[in-house]
Amino acid sequence: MNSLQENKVIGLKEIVIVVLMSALSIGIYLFCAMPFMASPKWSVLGGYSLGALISGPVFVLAITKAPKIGASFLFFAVKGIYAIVMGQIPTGIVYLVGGVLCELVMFGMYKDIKKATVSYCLHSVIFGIGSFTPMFLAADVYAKQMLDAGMDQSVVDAMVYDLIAPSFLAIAGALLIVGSIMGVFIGYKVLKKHFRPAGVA
Amino acid sequence: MIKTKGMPLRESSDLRVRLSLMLGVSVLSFTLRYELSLLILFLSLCFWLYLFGLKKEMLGFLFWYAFLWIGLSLIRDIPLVKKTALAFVGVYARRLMLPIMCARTVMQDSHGKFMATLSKMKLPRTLVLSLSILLRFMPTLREEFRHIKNARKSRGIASSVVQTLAHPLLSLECTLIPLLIRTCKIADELAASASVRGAKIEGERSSWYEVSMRTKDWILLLGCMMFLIMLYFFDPYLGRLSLWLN
Repeated sequence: MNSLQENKVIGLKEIVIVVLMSALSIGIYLFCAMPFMASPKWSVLGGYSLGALISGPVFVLAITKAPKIGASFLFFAVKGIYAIVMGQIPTGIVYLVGGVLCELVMFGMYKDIKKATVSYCLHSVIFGIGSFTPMFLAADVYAKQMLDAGMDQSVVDAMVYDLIAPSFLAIAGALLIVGSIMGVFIGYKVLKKHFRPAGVA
Repeated sequence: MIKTKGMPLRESSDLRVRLSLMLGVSVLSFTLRYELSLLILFLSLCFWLYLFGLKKEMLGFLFWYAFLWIGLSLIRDIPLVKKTALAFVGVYARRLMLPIMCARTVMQDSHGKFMATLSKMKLPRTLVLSLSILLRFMPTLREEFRHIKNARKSRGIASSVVQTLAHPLLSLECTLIPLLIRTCKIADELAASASVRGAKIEGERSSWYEVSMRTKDWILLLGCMMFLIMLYFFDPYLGRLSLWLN
């Protein structure tokens, strides 16, 4: 690898920082989703949106410390790797594909705030909605099992089919985008207030 | 030649067998349609955990499976339960539990052996390095969070749940900022440590651990895959059997 490529592509130090920031982001999302776990709908509407908001400064710090090719992909890919290690292979694959899309959005313009915001919004939407990948793949299987367990058709519709309905996905997507935009905005404010004076970023 | 006779399965089996099983179970967890098939798969995985010496974890999974299935079927006629997502959580969580059970056995290898196997699988080095950092950092993150919580308490900031809820922004700022600064410091130390260990070297790397698929591993892999394929094909028949038993 020549020195020009080395300067553009994420290196060892940047890989470490992005992986750690992504691990921190996973912790934040898990912490935020906990109070909403009893309801899958609310875990997306409440938990993941709150996670996107709080995780915003983490993403901003990650791309500020590693403004190179692969940073945005790696930030999302680590979540995919984590999902795969936890046995959620289809969800992990969705996250890896999401990482590629986020990277394409930011490609070559890692210091552009607008691109960073769009990339993070995409990350949050795919991460939030993608967490229900098994539901998209096998809604009928889940519905059948719930019907067999004695649930009413109306309840099954509300729990399974409403979760993958376009109207719900639109609302969830909108909330996740709002959370992400606020998260990135807070992230840049925090960067200016705390990290730049401390010499961290 | 390494003698594996008499060694527990966790030390004698190859990681790739467990990863293949995890992949198969992950697919089956959302393709099996009938309760009886799921139960057979769950009990088989309990036995798998037992073979790995994970008795405590096995009992934990047994408890949660029984709680989510029997517990919820006992209270399913209560109107509040019918109207809420509890039944759905019961169904969804039980299916998600199956690949997680396999993941528990995947995480049993020592860190070095785990990495050596992933490198042997010719996975990209960035991926192997990321996974290595991720697995090491998760417990550190918990420890850092505990330190920050103690420091917050000693300064009287967000020392209780009520105080945290009363000043959410202050609590968040006093937790997130130190956590991010500590993470940056740890990243610098980790990068230096990885660099010293030769993570930047491009060429072929050797390992202390010998990673190879032995005859025993191939038999185990074949047996596991045969079982999963049979379960998939017998799923409708097991469904009919459970109806007949009811």
